[in-house]
Amino acid sequence: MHGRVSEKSDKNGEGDHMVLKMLTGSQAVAWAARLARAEYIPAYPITPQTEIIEILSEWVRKGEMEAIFVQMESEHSLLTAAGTAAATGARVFTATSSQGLLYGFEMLYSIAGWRAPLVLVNVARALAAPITLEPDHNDVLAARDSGFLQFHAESVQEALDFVLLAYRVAEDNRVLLPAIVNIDGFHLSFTRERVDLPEQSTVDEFLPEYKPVNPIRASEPVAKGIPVLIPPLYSFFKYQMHMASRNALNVFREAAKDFEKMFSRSYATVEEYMLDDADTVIVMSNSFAAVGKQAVNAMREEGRKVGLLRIRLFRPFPTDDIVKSLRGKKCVVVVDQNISIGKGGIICPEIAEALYHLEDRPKVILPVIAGLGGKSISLEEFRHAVRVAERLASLKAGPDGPLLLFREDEAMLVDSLLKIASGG
Amino acid sequence: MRLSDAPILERGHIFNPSYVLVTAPSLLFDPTVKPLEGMADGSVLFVNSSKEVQIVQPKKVHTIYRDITELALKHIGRDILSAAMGAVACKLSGLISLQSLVDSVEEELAELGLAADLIEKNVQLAKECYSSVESISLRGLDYKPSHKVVEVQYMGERGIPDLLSMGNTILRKTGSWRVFTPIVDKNLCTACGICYIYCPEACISLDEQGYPVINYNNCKGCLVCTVECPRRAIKTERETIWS
Amino acid sequence: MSITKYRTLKDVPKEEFLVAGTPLCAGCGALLVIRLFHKALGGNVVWVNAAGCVTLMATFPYTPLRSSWFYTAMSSAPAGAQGIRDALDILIKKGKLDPAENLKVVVITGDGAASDIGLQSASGAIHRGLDFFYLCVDNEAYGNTGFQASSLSPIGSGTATTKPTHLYPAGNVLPKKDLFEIWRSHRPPYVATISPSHVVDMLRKVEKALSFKGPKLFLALCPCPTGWGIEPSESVQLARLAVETGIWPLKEAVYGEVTHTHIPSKRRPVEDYLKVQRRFAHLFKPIKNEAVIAEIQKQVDEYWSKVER
Repeated sequence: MHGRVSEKSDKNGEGDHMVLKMLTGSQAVAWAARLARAEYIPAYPITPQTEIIEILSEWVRKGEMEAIFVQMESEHSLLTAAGTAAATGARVFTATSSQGLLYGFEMLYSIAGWRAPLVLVNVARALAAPITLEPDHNDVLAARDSGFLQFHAESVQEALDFVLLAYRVAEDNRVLLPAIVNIDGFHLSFTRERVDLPEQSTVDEFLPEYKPVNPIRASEPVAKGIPVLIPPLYSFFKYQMHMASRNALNVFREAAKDFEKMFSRSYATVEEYMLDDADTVIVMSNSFAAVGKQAVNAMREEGRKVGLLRIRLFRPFPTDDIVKSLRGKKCVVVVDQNISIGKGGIICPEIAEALYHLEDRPKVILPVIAGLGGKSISLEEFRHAVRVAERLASLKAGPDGPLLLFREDEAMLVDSLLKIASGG
Repeated sequence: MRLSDAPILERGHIFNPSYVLVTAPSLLFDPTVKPLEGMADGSVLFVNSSKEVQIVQPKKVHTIYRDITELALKHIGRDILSAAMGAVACKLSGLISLQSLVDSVEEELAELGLAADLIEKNVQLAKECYSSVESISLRGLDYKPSHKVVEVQYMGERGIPDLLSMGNTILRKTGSWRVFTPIVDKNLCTACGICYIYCPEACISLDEQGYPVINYNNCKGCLVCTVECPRRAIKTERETIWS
Repeated sequence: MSITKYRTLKDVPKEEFLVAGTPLCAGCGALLVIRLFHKALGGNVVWVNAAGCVTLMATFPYTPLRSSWFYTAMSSAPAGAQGIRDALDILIKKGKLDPAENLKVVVITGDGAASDIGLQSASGAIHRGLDFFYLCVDNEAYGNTGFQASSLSPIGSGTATTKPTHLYPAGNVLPKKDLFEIWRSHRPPYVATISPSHVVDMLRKVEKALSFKGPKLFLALCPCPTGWGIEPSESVQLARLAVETGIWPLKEAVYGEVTHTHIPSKRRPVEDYLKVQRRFAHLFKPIKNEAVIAEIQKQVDEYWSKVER
């Protein structure tokens, strides 16, 4: 770490040249876009993404960023413009959230299929209906199969760093796929944390200029996005995208090595927390992993050998690193902060599939649903989940469905509110 | 359509056809269509053509041709071939009786809302097509073993579905769509260039004297030129260039 | 009209940007419009397309165009144009791109994309003053999916979803949206209607539009042999009939000020246009639907009574 906390930082986190700042997640990703020299920012407001685009529009209007900021008429349009601009050769940054991501959903697959690299920050917010504001990950995980790379941030620092890493990986000609950086609404977007703000010159060194493939130019006409009506050809192009995404694993590792050299922060595809001697491992992603770590600390104090594995890079899925971290463990508790209705969590089956063929695979993989719509997860809930997993292991039994973490005080609250709603 | 006494487990494309019917000779060699692929020795190929068709590979395909378009023009006055080709398929296979054919032409065209007189014309067309060919039994079909599974390599930038060869539809011989061919009568033509302007396909160019030259490789035979020509100097003839 | 290089059909530019061999139907009015429109536009064009018949012009591995093409999605071609325009602008401004590489950005969609699913996107782009062309090739239905009604299908037309029945003898009972007026209400620099039959009028309009920065919007009536039920050879004739009956007024609006560029001296009865198309056949057989035909004639007469006044 170098530098010190800035003495003053105004609303937008602007100020002097101090490298340590207290920034919200929104400010941090806006700074990342600025440092990456993003030159095109199509936007459409949605809570809780708005602060990001407000900051960027102001910087562009003040001439502090040499970029075009354009407010579109919808997320569908903003993603279309983002994709065609990236295909034309501009470095594109944009942000949305929740309903907005779903409104533009069609274009996620299109942008990825165009092989147009750009960075989209998703400020996670649970999906309607019922409509709500606080986060879970059904929005970002809906984009799971689109071809976008996915980075899931736990902290404001990671939010900033992942945007830079995302550009570096997405634009690499072994990859050429767009990327989503997910930051949890409110818990990261509106929460100030200490952030080491990189120097522009170092970022310039880390992030080479974007070199588009077959950009649209007068001298070299090209037809893009055109129908592929021949099934083997379609199959071929789709699988090329998959291989490009798999390439992104090593491209990310390379980039992370350079990043560590330049910025002294090191990122693997997953974070291992107290895993070495752990019998039971909680698997999480995004900002709520912090409370998971807190629970691990508490259980460690109680003498339980519990650890936590956090997924940073969700697409491409870092199967090898997950296997390395989880093989030989007794129990795995996958805390999915999302729900695939009629099945359970989205991440748990992916973990289970990664481990299935190992001889030393965990005895129990417990699917847990928690934190939907921003519902808090208490220590007791984590403790309960770990207890259930360990009991199943001792009984040599498997779970009979996902375990929903829900507390007595919450059940009472629900009951009282239902009474008001029904007038009874 | 899938119909059999036993369950049919084929689905989608037919990779090893016993009978192949081709509506235009030019389609035989179209790289995106490849109608001959998967045909075995002993299978049957029917081509809608006024001239004999030569097939090099596979060698022992029983190939026949008829000018079905001519029959369609005679009965319906248009080159609508669905009933005609269906009738040929019914007869070639020997599986479907004339009465079943007539019943289904009547039923399906009525479902489409066609007028009774037009349905009757299609029935007459189907009947003539049915009697214009003989049933051909399949002889010892010998299908090549299917292709082995290969590994797809990452192709980098070439694996991106961008198209860099501009204006290459000229390679597609849409001239085979033609039923009637426009032919410029140089005695009447005044080189006004109007046909050139109104050709939707850019298939008419002008020579040094300003007279139209028609690209018959690609002209679809829409005949807008014949209608727009103020001197009626573009005549039409039944297409023979392609078949 | 101001000074123009297009006086007669002899002045139609010779350079072709569209080559033969497309998979579009024989006699496609849209294809003819695209070919002629492109001649007037000149080179250095990128077409931005929404799903429709013309999407099939370029299907892997073929394209008939010598210009660039970008298929986006059904509802957002104008937004796609925004991204391309803005990217070119910022790259040129930053000195990363030679200005010689600049392109005219041209949206091309059918009437369904223009008037229904993509209207929001078009409105946004026009509102922002995006420097682009929009060419709507209007065949008055969703042609590519089998000719279902769009909101630009005219009253009385039979489509795959407005088939005439004894309950609905008129076929389509909804009026055609006035897309020209919807566009014009945004007060863009240039809006025009064009017809493949009136080529000099079309070329002059493109020529004029080229002098404006901002949205330049064209609505072209494009006869559709398969959907309208006409012979491919009659395609241009039908476009001409639409103009001569007054059903398709040729006009332009510069910053909202409307001028009719061709006022038919004596309008032919609409019946002449309707009776030759299968999509209107139910208005004539088995019994003539005088009321609907009269209503269509009345609407045309009312329109022109305001023009001529």
